Amino acid sequence: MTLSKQDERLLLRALDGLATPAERAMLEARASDDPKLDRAWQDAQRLLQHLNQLPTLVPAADLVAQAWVDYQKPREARRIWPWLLVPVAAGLAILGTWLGFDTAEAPVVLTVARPALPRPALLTARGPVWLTTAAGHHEAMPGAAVGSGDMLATAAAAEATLQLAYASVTLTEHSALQLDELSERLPKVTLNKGVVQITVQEAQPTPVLEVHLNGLKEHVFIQTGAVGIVQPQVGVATVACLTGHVRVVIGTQSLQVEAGQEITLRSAQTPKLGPSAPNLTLVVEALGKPAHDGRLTLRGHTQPGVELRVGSVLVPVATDGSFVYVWRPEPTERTVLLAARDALNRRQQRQASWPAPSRASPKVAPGETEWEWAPKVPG
Amino acid sequence: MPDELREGVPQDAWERAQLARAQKGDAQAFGDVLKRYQTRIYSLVRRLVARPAEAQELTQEVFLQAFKSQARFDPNRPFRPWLYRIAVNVCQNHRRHASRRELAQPPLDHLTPLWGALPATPEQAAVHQDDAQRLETYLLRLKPSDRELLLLRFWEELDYAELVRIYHLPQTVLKMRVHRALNTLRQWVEGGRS
Repeated sequence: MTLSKQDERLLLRALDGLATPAERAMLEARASDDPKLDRAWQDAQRLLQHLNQLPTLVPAADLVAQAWVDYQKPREARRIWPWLLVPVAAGLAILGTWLGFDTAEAPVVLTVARPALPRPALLTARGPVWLTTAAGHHEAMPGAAVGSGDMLATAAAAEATLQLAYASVTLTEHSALQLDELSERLPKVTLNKGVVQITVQEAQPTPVLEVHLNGLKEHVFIQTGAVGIVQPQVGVATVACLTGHVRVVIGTQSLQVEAGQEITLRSAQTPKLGPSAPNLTLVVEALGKPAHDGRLTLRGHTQPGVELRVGSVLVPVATDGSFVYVWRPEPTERTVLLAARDALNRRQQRQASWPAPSRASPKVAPGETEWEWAPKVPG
Repeated sequence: MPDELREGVPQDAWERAQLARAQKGDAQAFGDVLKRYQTRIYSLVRRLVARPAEAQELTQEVFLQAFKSQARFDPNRPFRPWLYRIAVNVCQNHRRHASRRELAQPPLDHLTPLWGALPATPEQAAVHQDDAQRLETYLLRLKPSDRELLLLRFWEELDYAELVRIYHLPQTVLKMRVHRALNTLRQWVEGGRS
Protein backbone atom coordinates (compact mmCIF):
# COMPACT_ATOMS: atom_id res chain seq x y z
CA MET A 1 0.00 0.00 0.00
CA THR A 2 1.84 3.09 -1.23
CA LEU A 3 0.59 6.59 -0.51
CA SER A 4 1.29 9.64 -2.62
CA LYS A 5 4.04 11.89 -1.33
CA GLN A 6 1.50 14.58 -0.48
CA ASP A 7 -0.76 12.19 1.48
CA GLU A 8 2.24 10.74 3.31
CA ARG A 9 3.47 14.21 4.31
CA LEU A 10 0.00 15.20 5.51
CA LEU A 11 -0.37 11.99 7.48
CA LEU A 12 2.99 12.34 9.22
CA ARG A 13 2.38 16.00 10.10
CA ALA A 14 -1.02 15.10 11.51
CA LEU A 15 0.43 12.24 13.53
CA ASP A 16 3.16 14.49 14.91
CA GLY A 17 0.60 17.11 15.94
CA LEU A 18 2.09 19.64 13.53
CA ALA A 19 -0.76 19.80 11.01
CA THR A 20 -2.78 23.01 10.87
CA PRO A 21 -6.59 22.68 11.22
CA ALA A 22 -6.87 23.18 7.46
CA GLU A 23 -4.33 20.41 6.77
CA ARG A 24 -6.08 18.07 9.13
CA ALA A 25 -9.46 18.76 7.57
CA MET A 26 -7.93 18.11 4.16
CA LEU A 27 -6.49 14.79 5.33
CA GLU A 28 -9.80 13.65 6.77
CA ALA A 29 -11.66 14.71 3.63
CA ARG A 30 -9.23 12.81 1.42
CA ALA A 31 -9.35 9.78 3.71
CA SER A 32 -13.14 9.66 3.50
CA ASP A 33 -12.84 9.44 -0.30
CA ASP A 34 -9.85 7.08 -0.41
CA PRO A 35 -10.19 3.79 1.54
CA LYS A 36 -6.45 3.15 1.17
CA LEU A 37 -5.56 6.44 2.82
CA ASP A 38 -8.29 5.95 5.42
CA ARG A 39 -6.83 2.55 6.39
CA ALA A 40 -3.31 3.98 6.56
CA TRP A 41 -4.51 6.88 8.73
CA GLN A 42 -6.34 4.54 11.13
CA ASP A 43 -3.32 2.24 11.37
CA ALA A 44 -0.93 5.11 11.96
CA GLN A 45 -3.10 6.50 14.76
CA ARG A 46 -3.19 3.10 16.41
CA LEU A 47 0.58 2.80 16.05
CA LEU A 48 1.06 6.13 17.76
CA GLN A 49 -1.31 5.11 20.56
CA HIS A 50 0.70 1.95 21.20
CA LEU A 51 3.93 3.89 21.10
CA ASN A 52 2.54 6.33 23.62
CA GLN A 53 1.32 3.55 25.89
CA LEU A 54 4.48 1.47 26.05
CA PRO A 55 4.74 0.27 29.66
CA THR A 56 7.07 1.90 32.13
CA LEU A 57 9.78 -0.47 33.38
CA VAL A 58 10.99 -0.44 36.96
CA PRO A 59 14.66 -1.03 37.79
CA ALA A 60 15.49 -3.73 40.34
CA ALA A 61 17.39 -1.29 42.58
CA ASP A 62 17.45 2.34 43.62
CA LEU A 63 19.85 3.59 40.96
CA VAL A 64 19.86 7.18 42.20
CA ALA A 65 21.07 6.02 45.61
CA GLN A 66 23.77 3.84 44.02
CA ALA A 67 24.89 6.73 41.82
CA TRP A 68 25.12 8.91 44.92
CA VAL A 69 27.36 6.38 46.62
CA ASP A 70 29.58 6.26 43.50
CA TYR A 71 29.65 10.04 43.42
CA GLN A 72 30.84 10.19 47.02
CA LYS A 73 33.81 7.84 46.42
CA PRO A 74 36.08 10.16 44.40
CA ARG A 75 35.18 13.04 46.71
CA GLU A 76 36.54 11.05 49.64
CA ALA A 77 39.65 10.23 47.63
CA ARG A 78 40.10 13.95 46.87
CA ARG A 79 39.91 14.72 50.56
CA ILE A 80 42.62 12.17 51.35
CA TRP A 81 45.21 12.97 48.67
CA PRO A 82 46.61 16.22 50.20
CA TRP A 83 47.72 14.15 53.17
CA LEU A 84 49.80 12.00 50.85
CA LEU A 85 52.01 15.05 50.31
CA VAL A 86 53.18 14.91 53.93
CA PRO A 87 55.28 11.73 53.60
CA VAL A 88 56.53 12.98 50.21
CA ALA A 89 57.70 16.23 51.79
CA ALA A 90 59.27 14.35 54.68
CA GLY A 91 61.04 12.08 52.20
CA LEU A 92 62.36 15.09 50.27
CA ALA A 93 63.62 16.67 53.48
CA ILE A 94 65.45 13.48 54.51
CA LEU A 95 66.88 13.11 51.02
CA GLY A 96 68.01 16.75 51.08
CA THR A 97 69.76 16.26 54.42
CA TRP A 98 71.39 13.07 53.20
CA LEU A 99 72.69 14.82 50.07
CA GLY A 100 74.17 17.60 52.19
CA PHE A 101 71.70 20.39 51.64
CA ASP A 102 71.16 22.56 54.65
CA THR A 103 67.42 22.55 54.90
CA ALA A 104 67.53 25.08 57.75
CA GLU A 105 69.04 27.71 55.45
CA ALA A 106 66.88 26.89 52.45
CA PRO A 107 63.61 25.78 54.01
CA VAL A 108 61.01 24.07 51.90
CA VAL A 109 57.72 25.34 53.16
CA LEU A 110 54.85 23.07 52.40
CA THR A 111 51.45 24.02 53.65
CA VAL A 112 48.86 21.30 53.66
CA ALA A 113 45.38 22.41 54.52
CA ARG A 114 43.53 20.13 56.87
CA PRO A 115 40.85 18.49 54.77
CA ALA A 116 37.40 19.86 55.38
CA LEU A 117 35.38 17.62 57.61
CA PRO A 118 32.30 16.15 55.95
CA ARG A 119 29.02 17.64 57.06
CA PRO A 120 26.81 15.21 58.95
CA ALA A 121 24.72 13.56 56.25
CA LEU A 122 23.10 10.31 55.27
CA LEU A 123 25.68 8.49 53.16
CA THR A 124 23.62 5.50 52.04
CA ALA A 125 20.03 4.37 52.46
CA ARG A 126 18.79 0.95 51.47
CA GLY A 127 15.08 0.36 51.90
CA PRO A 128 12.78 2.78 53.71
CA VAL A 129 14.76 5.13 55.97
CA TRP A 130 12.85 7.87 57.77
CA LEU A 131 14.22 11.19 58.91
CA THR A 132 12.32 13.19 61.49
CA THR A 133 13.28 16.84 61.70
CA ALA A 134 11.62 19.91 63.16
CA ALA A 135 10.02 20.41 59.74
CA GLY A 136 8.40 16.99 59.64
CA HIS A 137 8.79 13.33 58.90
CA HIS A 138 9.89 12.14 55.46
CA GLU A 139 11.75 9.38 53.67
CA ALA A 140 15.44 10.19 53.62
CA MET A 141 17.56 10.05 50.50
CA PRO A 142 21.33 9.55 50.38
CA GLY A 143 22.97 12.92 50.74
CA ALA A 144 20.31 14.24 53.12
CA ALA A 145 21.85 16.69 55.55
CA VAL A 146 21.05 15.98 59.20
CA GLY A 147 21.25 18.23 62.21
CA SER A 148 21.08 18.20 65.99
CA GLY A 149 17.71 17.02 67.26
CA ASP A 150 16.87 14.96 64.15
CA MET A 151 16.02 11.29 64.38
CA LEU A 152 16.81 8.52 61.88
CA ALA A 153 14.80 5.31 61.79
CA THR A 154 15.03 2.25 59.56
CA ALA A 155 12.14 0.02 58.54
CA ALA A 156 12.20 -3.73 57.96
CA ALA A 157 15.05 -4.91 55.71
CA ALA A 158 16.43 -1.37 55.56
CA GLU A 159 19.90 -0.11 56.34
CA ALA A 160 21.31 3.39 56.55
CA THR A 161 24.77 4.83 57.05
CA LEU A 162 25.23 8.20 58.66
CA GLN A 163 28.46 10.07 58.01
CA LEU A 164 29.76 12.11 60.94
CA ALA A 165 32.96 14.11 61.25
CA TYR A 166 35.27 11.21 62.06
CA ALA A 167 33.01 8.18 62.12
CA SER A 168 30.21 6.53 60.24
CA VAL A 169 27.23 4.95 61.97
CA THR A 170 25.36 2.13 60.25
CA LEU A 171 21.83 1.42 61.44
CA THR A 172 20.46 -2.02 60.68
CA GLU A 173 16.77 -2.68 60.24
CA HIS A 174 14.26 -1.57 62.90
CA SER A 175 16.74 0.82 64.49
CA ALA A 176 16.16 4.36 65.71
CA LEU A 177 18.93 6.82 66.42
CA GLN A 178 18.40 10.21 68.02
CA LEU A 179 21.02 12.76 66.95
CA ASP A 180 21.30 14.73 70.18
CA GLU A 181 24.15 17.05 69.36
CA LEU A 182 26.16 16.93 66.16
CA SER A 183 29.19 18.97 67.10
CA GLU A 184 32.42 18.37 65.18
CA ARG A 185 34.41 17.73 68.34
CA LEU A 186 32.26 15.09 70.00
CA PRO A 187 28.84 14.29 68.50
CA LYS A 188 26.32 12.78 70.91
CA VAL A 189 23.69 10.31 69.76
CA THR A 190 21.16 8.11 71.56
CA LEU A 191 20.32 4.65 70.31
CA ASN A 192 16.63 4.24 71.08
CA LYS A 193 16.31 0.76 69.64
CA GLY A 194 17.98 -1.66 67.30
CA VAL A 195 21.58 -2.24 66.32
CA VAL A 196 24.24 0.15 65.15
CA GLN A 197 27.76 -0.43 63.97
CA ILE A 198 30.17 2.45 64.33
CA THR A 199 33.31 2.72 62.25
CA VAL A 200 36.01 5.28 62.93
CA GLN A 201 37.87 6.30 59.76
CA GLU A 202 41.23 6.75 61.44
CA ALA A 203 42.48 6.53 65.01
CA GLN A 204 41.96 9.78 66.86
CA PRO A 205 43.70 10.98 70.03
CA THR A 206 40.38 11.81 71.64
CA PRO A 207 36.94 10.18 71.51
CA VAL A 208 34.99 10.99 68.37
CA LEU A 209 31.51 9.88 69.33
CA GLU A 210 29.44 9.57 72.48
CA VAL A 211 26.65 7.03 72.27
CA HIS A 212 23.90 6.96 74.88
CA LEU A 213 21.78 3.87 75.17
CA ASN A 214 18.11 4.41 75.77
CA GLY A 215 16.99 2.97 79.07
CA LEU A 216 20.54 2.80 80.38
CA LYS A 217 22.44 5.44 82.30
CA GLU A 218 25.70 4.35 80.72
CA HIS A 219 27.12 5.91 77.67
CA VAL A 220 29.84 4.73 75.40
CA PHE A 221 32.76 6.73 74.05
CA ILE A 222 34.00 5.63 70.69
CA GLN A 223 37.61 6.40 69.92
CA THR A 224 38.96 3.97 67.35
CA GLY A 225 37.98 1.03 65.25
CA ALA A 226 34.62 -0.53 64.57
CA VAL A 227 32.07 -1.15 67.27
CA GLY A 228 28.78 -2.98 67.20
CA ILE A 229 26.11 -2.13 69.71
CA VAL A 230 23.19 -4.45 70.11
CA GLN A 231 20.22 -3.39 72.12
CA PRO A 232 17.72 -6.21 71.97
CA GLN A 233 15.49 -4.68 74.65
CA VAL A 234 15.35 -1.61 76.80
CA GLY A 235 17.46 -2.09 79.90
CA VAL A 236 19.95 -4.52 78.40
CA ALA A 237 22.54 -3.78 75.76
CA THR A 238 25.58 -5.48 74.38
CA VAL A 239 28.61 -3.56 73.25
CA ALA A 240 31.07 -5.47 71.12
CA CYS A 241 34.35 -4.08 69.92
CA LEU A 242 35.47 -5.38 66.55
CA THR A 243 38.67 -3.36 66.17
CA GLY A 244 40.36 -0.62 68.19
CA HIS A 245 38.83 0.02 71.57
CA VAL A 246 35.74 1.46 73.21
CA ARG A 247 35.46 3.22 76.54
CA VAL A 248 32.25 2.62 78.47
CA VAL A 249 31.44 5.09 81.24
CA ILE A 250 29.18 4.11 84.11
CA GLY A 251 28.88 6.89 86.62
CA THR A 252 32.43 7.49 87.74
CA GLN A 253 33.63 4.09 86.59
CA SER A 254 35.24 3.71 83.22
CA LEU A 255 35.94 0.46 81.43
CA GLN A 256 37.83 -0.13 78.25
CA VAL A 257 36.61 -2.82 75.85
CA GLU A 258 39.31 -4.09 73.54
CA ALA A 259 38.99 -5.62 70.08
CA GLY A 260 37.32 -9.01 70.17
CA GLN A 261 35.69 -8.36 73.55
CA GLU A 262 32.08 -7.65 74.31
CA ILE A 263 30.20 -6.71 77.43
CA THR A 264 26.59 -6.73 78.47
CA LEU A 265 25.15 -3.71 80.22
CA ARG A 266 22.07 -4.19 82.36
CA SER A 267 19.38 -2.21 84.12
CA ALA A 268 18.72 1.49 84.04
CA GLN A 269 18.17 1.75 87.79
CA THR A 270 21.27 0.00 89.03
CA PRO A 271 23.87 0.34 86.35
CA LYS A 272 26.39 -2.43 86.52
CA LEU A 273 28.42 -4.51 84.20
CA GLY A 274 26.84 -7.80 83.44
CA PRO A 275 28.53 -11.03 82.41
CA SER A 276 29.72 -11.56 78.94
CA ALA A 277 27.01 -11.29 76.33
CA PRO A 278 24.75 -14.32 76.14
CA ASN A 279 24.92 -16.67 73.22
CA LEU A 280 22.71 -16.08 70.29
CA THR A 281 19.28 -17.58 70.86
CA LEU A 282 18.08 -20.12 68.32
CA VAL A 283 15.20 -22.36 69.27
CA VAL A 284 13.32 -24.87 67.13
CA GLU A 285 9.79 -24.89 68.55
CA ALA A 286 7.93 -27.22 66.25
CA LEU A 287 8.75 -29.55 63.43
CA GLY A 288 6.00 -32.01 62.62
CA LYS A 289 5.84 -34.94 60.27
CA PRO A 290 5.83 -34.32 56.54
CA ALA A 291 2.31 -33.55 55.27
CA HIS A 292 0.60 -35.76 52.69
CA ASP A 293 2.19 -33.69 49.92
CA GLY A 294 5.62 -34.08 51.49
CA ARG A 295 5.82 -30.52 52.85
CA LEU A 296 7.31 -29.83 56.24
CA THR A 297 6.74 -26.81 58.49
CA LEU A 298 9.47 -25.58 60.81
CA ARG A 299 8.75 -22.97 63.49
CA GLY A 300 11.07 -21.35 65.94
CA HIS A 301 12.47 -18.15 67.30
CA THR A 302 15.77 -16.34 67.48
CA GLN A 303 16.66 -12.68 67.93
CA PRO A 304 15.41 -9.88 65.70
CA GLY A 305 17.78 -8.81 62.97
CA VAL A 306 19.47 -12.20 62.80
CA GLU A 307 20.44 -13.71 59.46
CA LEU A 308 18.98 -17.20 59.50
CA ARG A 309 19.59 -19.99 57.04
CA VAL A 310 17.77 -23.29 56.96
CA GLY A 311 19.96 -25.52 54.85
CA SER A 312 21.13 -23.09 52.22
CA VAL A 313 17.93 -21.01 52.18
CA LEU A 314 17.84 -17.57 53.78
CA VAL A 315 14.71 -17.45 55.94
CA PRO A 316 13.17 -14.13 57.02
CA VAL A 317 12.97 -13.49 60.76
CA ALA A 318 10.03 -11.47 62.08
CA THR A 319 10.47 -8.39 64.25
CA ASP A 320 9.75 -10.47 67.38
CA GLY A 321 12.38 -13.01 66.35
CA SER A 322 9.98 -15.73 65.24
CA PHE A 323 10.30 -17.57 61.97
CA VAL A 324 8.37 -20.12 59.96
CA TYR A 325 9.81 -22.13 57.09
CA VAL A 326 7.85 -24.47 54.87
CA TRP A 327 9.62 -26.66 52.37
CA ARG A 328 9.50 -30.04 50.71
CA PRO A 329 12.56 -32.10 51.70
CA GLU A 330 13.97 -34.91 49.61
CA PRO A 331 12.38 -38.28 50.51
CA THR A 332 15.68 -39.55 51.94
CA GLU A 333 16.36 -36.42 54.03
CA ARG A 334 15.72 -36.65 57.77
CA THR A 335 17.61 -33.64 59.17
CA VAL A 336 18.22 -30.02 58.36
CA LEU A 337 20.77 -27.56 59.73
CA LEU A 338 19.74 -24.12 60.99
CA ALA A 339 22.47 -21.48 61.13
CA ALA A 340 21.99 -18.02 62.63
CA ARG A 341 24.37 -15.07 62.59
CA ASP A 342 23.84 -11.62 64.04
CA ALA A 343 25.32 -8.21 63.31
CA LEU A 344 28.21 -8.91 65.67
CA ASN A 345 29.03 -12.05 63.77
CA ARG A 346 27.93 -14.25 66.69
CA ARG A 347 26.84 -17.60 65.36
CA GLN A 348 24.56 -20.36 66.52
CA GLN A 349 23.59 -23.66 64.93
CA ARG A 350 20.83 -26.17 65.56
CA GLN A 351 19.93 -29.41 63.87
CA ALA A 352 16.30 -30.35 63.42
CA SER A 353 15.16 -33.83 62.46
CA TRP A 354 11.87 -35.45 61.59
CA PRO A 355 10.57 -39.03 61.38
CA ALA A 356 10.14 -40.91 58.16
CA PRO A 357 6.65 -40.57 56.70
CA SER A 358 4.37 -43.47 57.54
CA ARG A 359 3.82 -45.75 54.55
CA ALA A 360 0.26 -45.21 53.33
CA SER A 361 -1.68 -48.31 52.38
CA PRO A 362 -2.12 -48.55 48.62
CA LYS A 363 -5.49 -47.54 47.32
CA VAL A 364 -7.37 -50.32 45.60
CA ALA A 365 -9.61 -49.51 42.74
CA PRO A 366 -13.08 -51.11 42.74
CA GLY A 367 -13.00 -54.49 41.11
CA GLU A 368 -9.35 -55.08 41.83
CA THR A 369 -7.99 -57.54 44.33
CA GLU A 370 -5.73 -56.43 47.11
CA TRP A 371 -2.85 -58.85 47.62
CA GLU A 372 -0.99 -59.09 50.83
CA TRP A 373 2.56 -60.28 50.64
CA ALA A 374 3.69 -62.61 53.42
CA PRO A 375 7.19 -63.92 53.90
CA LYS A 376 7.70 -67.57 53.36
CA VAL A 377 8.30 -69.37 56.62
CA PRO A 378 10.88 -72.14 56.30
CA GLY A 379 9.78 -75.60 57.26
CA MET B 1 6.51 9.07 50.65
CA PRO B 2 5.06 12.55 50.14
CA ASP B 3 2.65 12.92 47.21
CA GLU B 4 4.92 15.25 45.33
CA LEU B 5 7.63 12.58 45.20
CA ARG B 6 5.43 10.17 43.30
CA GLU B 7 6.65 9.58 39.82
CA GLY B 8 4.67 10.81 36.91
CA VAL B 9 3.01 13.60 38.93
CA PRO B 10 3.76 16.76 37.00
CA GLN B 11 4.44 19.27 39.74
CA ASP B 12 6.78 21.75 38.18
CA ALA B 13 6.51 24.12 41.14
CA TRP B 14 7.74 21.33 43.41
CA GLU B 15 10.57 20.53 41.01
CA ARG B 16 11.60 24.18 40.81
CA ALA B 17 11.57 24.46 44.61
CA GLN B 18 13.68 21.32 44.97
CA LEU B 19 16.17 22.51 42.36
CA ALA B 20 16.42 25.87 44.11
CA ARG B 21 17.24 24.01 47.33
CA ALA B 22 19.76 21.90 45.45
CA GLN B 23 21.48 25.06 44.20
CA LYS B 24 22.01 26.02 47.83
CA GLY B 25 23.80 22.74 48.48
CA ASP B 26 20.96 20.44 49.52
CA ALA B 27 22.02 17.20 47.85
CA GLN B 28 18.89 15.43 49.01
CA ALA B 29 16.67 17.85 47.11
CA PHE B 30 18.60 17.10 43.93
CA GLY B 31 18.38 13.36 44.62
CA ASP B 32 14.62 13.67 45.11
CA VAL B 33 14.26 15.26 41.69
CA LEU B 34 16.40 12.57 40.07
CA LYS B 35 14.39 9.86 41.79
CA ARG B 36 11.26 11.27 40.17
CA TYR B 37 12.77 10.50 36.76
CA GLN B 38 14.29 7.15 37.70
CA THR B 39 11.79 4.77 36.07
CA ARG B 40 11.33 6.98 33.00
CA ILE B 41 15.06 7.15 32.32
CA TYR B 42 15.48 3.45 33.04
CA SER B 43 12.57 2.55 30.73
CA LEU B 44 14.10 4.61 27.93
CA VAL B 45 17.58 3.16 28.40
CA ARG B 46 16.18 -0.35 28.73
CA ARG B 47 14.64 -0.05 25.26
CA LEU B 48 17.95 1.07 23.82
CA VAL B 49 20.24 -1.66 25.14
CA ALA B 50 20.06 -5.42 25.09
CA ARG B 51 20.28 -6.53 28.71
CA PRO B 52 18.57 -5.37 31.92
CA ALA B 53 21.88 -5.33 33.82
CA GLU B 54 23.39 -3.13 31.14
CA ALA B 55 20.40 -0.80 31.32
CA GLN B 56 20.79 -0.52 35.10
CA GLU B 57 24.49 0.30 34.76
CA LEU B 58 23.84 2.95 32.15
CA THR B 59 20.97 4.49 34.11
CA GLN B 60 23.18 4.65 37.18
CA GLU B 61 25.84 6.31 35.03
CA VAL B 62 23.26 8.90 33.91
CA PHE B 63 22.53 9.81 37.52
CA LEU B 64 26.22 9.81 38.43
CA GLN B 65 26.89 12.27 35.58
CA ALA B 66 23.93 14.33 36.78
CA PHE B 67 25.38 14.55 40.31
CA LYS B 68 28.76 15.52 38.86
CA SER B 69 27.29 18.16 36.56
CA GLN B 70 24.82 19.52 39.10
CA ALA B 71 26.85 22.70 39.61
CA ARG B 72 26.68 23.46 35.90
CA PHE B 73 22.89 23.20 35.73
CA ASP B 74 21.23 26.58 35.12
CA PRO B 75 18.07 26.70 37.27
CA ASN B 76 16.50 29.19 34.86
CA ARG B 77 16.41 26.50 32.19
CA PRO B 78 14.14 23.44 32.15
CA PHE B 79 15.50 20.43 33.99
CA ARG B 80 14.00 17.62 31.91
CA PRO B 81 15.92 18.30 28.65
CA TRP B 82 19.09 18.76 30.70
CA LEU B 83 18.72 15.32 32.27
CA TYR B 84 17.69 13.66 29.00
CA ARG B 85 20.67 15.26 27.29
CA ILE B 86 22.88 13.40 29.78
CA ALA B 87 20.95 10.18 29.15
CA VAL B 88 21.31 10.53 25.39
CA ASN B 89 25.03 11.22 25.71
CA VAL B 90 25.56 8.20 27.95
CA CYS B 91 23.66 5.96 25.52
CA GLN B 92 25.52 7.35 22.50
CA ASN B 93 28.88 6.74 24.18
CA HIS B 94 27.77 3.24 25.03
CA ARG B 95 26.76 2.59 21.43
CA ARG B 96 30.14 3.78 20.23
CA HIS B 97 31.88 1.28 22.45
CA ALA B 98 29.49 -1.66 22.13
CA SER B 99 29.95 -4.12 19.33
CA ARG B 100 27.79 -3.61 16.27
CA ARG B 101 26.65 -7.21 16.26
CA GLU B 102 25.30 -7.03 19.76
CA LEU B 103 23.29 -3.90 19.00
CA ALA B 104 21.91 -5.25 15.77
CA GLN B 105 20.65 -8.44 17.32
CA PRO B 106 19.44 -7.91 20.84
CA PRO B 107 18.59 -11.18 22.54
CA LEU B 108 14.96 -12.18 22.64
CA ASP B 109 14.74 -11.77 26.40
CA HIS B 110 14.88 -8.05 25.72
CA LEU B 111 11.37 -8.28 24.36
CA THR B 112 9.64 -10.26 27.04
CA PRO B 113 9.15 -7.69 29.79
CA LEU B 114 8.29 -4.84 27.50
CA TRP B 115 4.65 -5.57 26.74
CA GLY B 116 3.30 -6.61 30.06
CA ALA B 117 1.12 -3.72 31.13
CA LEU B 118 -0.86 -2.74 28.08
CA PRO B 119 -4.49 -1.87 28.73
CA ALA B 120 -6.96 -4.07 26.89
CA THR B 121 -10.46 -5.42 27.33
CA PRO B 122 -10.66 -9.20 27.47
CA GLU B 123 -12.23 -9.31 24.01
CA GLN B 124 -9.60 -7.12 22.40
CA ALA B 125 -6.67 -8.32 24.47
CA ALA B 126 -5.35 -10.72 21.85
CA VAL B 127 -5.45 -8.16 19.03
CA HIS B 128 -4.09 -5.38 21.20
CA GLN B 129 -1.24 -7.43 22.55
CA ASP B 130 -0.44 -8.65 19.07
CA ASP B 131 -0.18 -5.06 17.81
CA ALA B 132 1.90 -3.98 20.80
CA GLN B 133 4.25 -6.92 20.42
CA ARG B 134 4.65 -6.20 16.75
CA LEU B 135 5.40 -2.57 17.56
CA GLU B 136 8.10 -3.52 20.07
CA THR B 137 9.62 -5.88 17.51
CA TYR B 138 9.64 -3.23 14.81
CA LEU B 139 11.05 -0.67 17.27
CA LEU B 140 13.99 -2.99 17.80
CA ARG B 141 14.60 -3.13 14.06
CA LEU B 142 15.00 0.63 13.94
CA LYS B 143 18.47 2.15 14.27
CA PRO B 144 19.06 2.85 17.98
CA SER B 145 19.40 6.57 17.29
CA ASP B 146 16.01 6.63 15.51
CA ARG B 147 14.45 4.49 18.22
CA GLU B 148 15.76 6.87 20.85
CA LEU B 149 14.33 9.88 19.01
CA LEU B 150 10.89 8.30 18.51
CA LEU B 151 10.70 7.27 22.17
CA LEU B 152 11.64 10.75 23.32
CA ARG B 153 9.10 12.38 21.00
CA PHE B 154 6.11 10.05 21.32
CA TRP B 155 6.62 8.08 24.53
CA GLU B 156 8.22 10.79 26.65
CA GLU B 157 6.22 13.40 24.73
CA LEU B 158 9.05 15.88 24.60
CA ASP B 159 8.31 18.80 22.26
CA TYR B 160 10.68 19.92 19.56
CA ALA B 161 12.03 22.82 21.63
CA GLU B 162 13.14 20.27 24.24
CA LEU B 163 14.58 17.97 21.58
CA VAL B 164 16.60 20.89 20.21
CA ARG B 165 18.10 21.39 23.69
CA ILE B 166 18.97 17.69 23.88
CA TYR B 167 20.42 17.13 20.43
CA HIS B 168 21.69 20.64 19.64
CA LEU B 169 20.26 20.22 16.12
CA PRO B 170 17.85 22.49 14.21
CA GLN B 171 14.14 21.73 14.56
CA THR B 172 13.80 21.05 10.83
CA VAL B 173 16.46 18.35 10.98
CA LEU B 174 14.86 16.75 14.00
CA LYS B 175 11.39 16.81 12.43
CA MET B 176 12.76 15.22 9.29
CA ARG B 177 14.44 12.45 11.30
CA VAL B 178 11.33 11.84 13.42
CA HIS B 179 9.07 11.68 10.38
CA ARG B 180 11.44 9.42 8.50
CA ALA B 181 11.63 6.99 11.44
CA LEU B 182 7.89 7.16 12.02
CA ASN B 183 7.21 6.48 8.36
CA THR B 184 9.55 3.49 8.37
CA LEU B 185 7.78 2.10 11.40
CA ARG B 186 4.37 2.78 9.84
CA GLN B 187 5.32 0.98 6.64
CA TRP B 188 6.67 -2.03 8.56
CA VAL B 189 3.45 -2.28 10.56
CA GLU B 190 1.39 -2.01 7.38
CA GLY B 191 3.55 -4.57 5.62
CA GLY B 192 3.32 -6.94 8.57
CA ARG B 193 -0.47 -6.69 8.61
CA SER B 194 -1.07 -7.16 4.88
